[in-house]
Amino acid sequence: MTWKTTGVVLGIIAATALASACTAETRSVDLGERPGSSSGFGGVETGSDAGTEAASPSRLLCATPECPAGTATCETSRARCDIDLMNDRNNCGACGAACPADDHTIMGVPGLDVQFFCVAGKCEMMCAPKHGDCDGIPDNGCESSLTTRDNCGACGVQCPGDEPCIEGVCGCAPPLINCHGNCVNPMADTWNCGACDAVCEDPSPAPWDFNYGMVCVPPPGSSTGACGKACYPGWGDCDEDLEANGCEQRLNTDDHCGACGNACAGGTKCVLADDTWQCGCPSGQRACFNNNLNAHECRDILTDPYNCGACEVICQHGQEPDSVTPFSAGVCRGGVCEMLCKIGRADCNGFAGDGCEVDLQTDPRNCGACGNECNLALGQPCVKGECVVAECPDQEAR
Amino acid sequence: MRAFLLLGVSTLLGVLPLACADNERAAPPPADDAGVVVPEDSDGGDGGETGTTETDGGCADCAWFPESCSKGALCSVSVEALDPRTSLFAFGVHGDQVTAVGTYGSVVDLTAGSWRRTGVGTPDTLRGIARLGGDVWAASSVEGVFIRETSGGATGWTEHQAGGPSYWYWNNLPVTALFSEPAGAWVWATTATSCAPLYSSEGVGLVRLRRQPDYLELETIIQNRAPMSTCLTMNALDGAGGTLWVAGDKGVLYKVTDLEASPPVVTLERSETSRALLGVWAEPSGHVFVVGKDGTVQHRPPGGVFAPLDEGVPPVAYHAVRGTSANDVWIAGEDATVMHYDGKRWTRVPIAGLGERRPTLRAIAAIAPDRVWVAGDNVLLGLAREDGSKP
Repeated sequence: MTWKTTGVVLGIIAATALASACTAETRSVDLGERPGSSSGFGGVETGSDAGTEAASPSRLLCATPECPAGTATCETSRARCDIDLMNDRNNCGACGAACPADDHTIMGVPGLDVQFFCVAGKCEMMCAPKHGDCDGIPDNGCESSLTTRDNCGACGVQCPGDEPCIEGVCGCAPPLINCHGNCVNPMADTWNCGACDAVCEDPSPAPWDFNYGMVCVPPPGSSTGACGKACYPGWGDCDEDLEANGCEQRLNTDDHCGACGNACAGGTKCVLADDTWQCGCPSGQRACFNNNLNAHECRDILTDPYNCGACEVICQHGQEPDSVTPFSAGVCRGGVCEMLCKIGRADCNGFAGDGCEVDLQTDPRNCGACGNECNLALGQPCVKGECVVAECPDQEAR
Repeated sequence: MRAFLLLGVSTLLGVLPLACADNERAAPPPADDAGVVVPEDSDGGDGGETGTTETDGGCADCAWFPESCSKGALCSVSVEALDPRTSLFAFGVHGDQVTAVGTYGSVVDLTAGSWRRTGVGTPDTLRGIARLGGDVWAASSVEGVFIRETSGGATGWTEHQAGGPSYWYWNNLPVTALFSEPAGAWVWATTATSCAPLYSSEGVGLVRLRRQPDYLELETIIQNRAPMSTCLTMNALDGAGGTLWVAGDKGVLYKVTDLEASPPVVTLERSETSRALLGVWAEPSGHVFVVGKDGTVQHRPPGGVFAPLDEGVPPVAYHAVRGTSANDVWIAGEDATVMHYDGKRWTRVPIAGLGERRPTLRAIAAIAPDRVWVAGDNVLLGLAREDGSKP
């Protein structure tokens, strides 16, 4: 257990144990200060550190309606003190002090390719990924793409010869080769099969319904591609007469399942499993009918949240009323759906339909845990999952 | 937050075995008037927090989980060939025949005094079982219905699915429970929603099925629509005397009558709770019991209204309720909690053989006052025999 989690657990235990010392209006917590501990509401974490209590003066902390330093209640707030002015780009340093909007080149429309962050209460500009301020002029932002041959990965890095710049790196990564400034795969590219410009051409092209074509594949034992004729995926030349009727047989039937002549025995179905047609599903999986394929497909109904416990059974994630982005996720374990909450959220009402409806970080009725109420009469806010406290007024160090 | 709770629970559980050691070696607690064992350190079910009383050693529940089987206790029984990860969700009872169904396509039959697992042949999660015209139905969804044609002497299962010209749903409907009347023509199924607003099946909570030559004919009976939440899942159903009760999320409870009519009569009833209802039992003489989350137990006497019947009941989620009369009612749920109601009060039932496990219990078969089975997550329990031996 880390020191922080130890502190949280001990703090909660201490807060509970010492609650009887609080008045109705102000819940105070007896804190033993620890060297290096933070001040303010975070100090609750040190509450039960009995080992240091004897050596350090203690202070009383009381519930307070005030926001902790660095937080505020702004127009966009959903709860009191829920805005972190230190890193909220819409309220950076102060309510309403929004950082400039990010500006990107989109679909050919030029932009400055800059983005802004709120860091320690101040807006800071950074170049968008794969862009750089190569001319040093701030007015035109991060004007250079770092995926060009002149600025490949960094400003001023030029690729030699006709080497292309791929994702900020000059040259082609093996097994790709450089053909006229483009990276191609000589073991699969029918236009550059084995070498640049080596085109796979069929001298006597087959009708379209012969279901085969030219392919570039490395022959057995070879590391370079060679042209040849091959059936399209899912088709087979089961009568071994390619010239007469091509690849005439679909390989998703119970008589020719995945390969010519592979008949499914005992009434098992030919199903699609991991992009391969085979007789029956692997253990633990189930054949579910796929309307798009007009065939059965194997699904792991023990873990698949879209086929959980049965075909096409979708694990529910709730619809939180305050967000279009769900804070819950449906997962499938052993064929049974479960709903998980994102960190800081919880399903306090037990109704999966509204998902993880509570924000444990800010809800003073469920602060840090379902049912954990802050002092509502006092207006004590919940910040980062803890009811806010401050040093009690007029107290003397013990 | 759940992780935090788990931390706390696991920490407590980690401490429990040490604190429990002495209690587990102690003699079995005495039986009460109803034959139910009352641990010596319990408060007798008189309204206190029966299941959460802490002993001096810090062990909250050891007394309820003795090592050995004894009279009045539920005792763990083994099931031949059962995957230890299996959850059992429902019982089907017909005369002396008892069958449970659950995950991994599990079908568990009580045959000649011992339990044995077979399966439907697929890993479907079977949540419901019913009997219609001598055949046994089990289902994971309306497109995953398995029928054992025992009327024709068959012992294997055949797969069936909803279909036909009137079946127009884009997605499957997961079944949460099945029910059939002894002489009825339909099998009734409660269903879960996926809470996906674009689906035509959104809000469907109750359907009924019957066999056609090539498919199962499906009729939608209940579809929750605005202003009700369309995310409501109906979790359980049971019927008696021509009346069907359907229980679901947020305390939603329906009564269905005129069951063979088309359509039947559906009435929204007041359960007097907004908590999720997970189990329902329609007692033959007209009593209705529903159970659910947070210790919810509601009772409706014949012709009356629902009222809480939860005094002395630990506040866990209860998934099942069954009995043999209004004075012999069993409920089971989370943390291996089983309570018995004798018409006056609830008493906690000890469970032997669980070790440190406290599984969720999900189904009850109450065949006679002295013949009760309870099943759940990796567990099957039976009421001890008169001599205290395992059932």
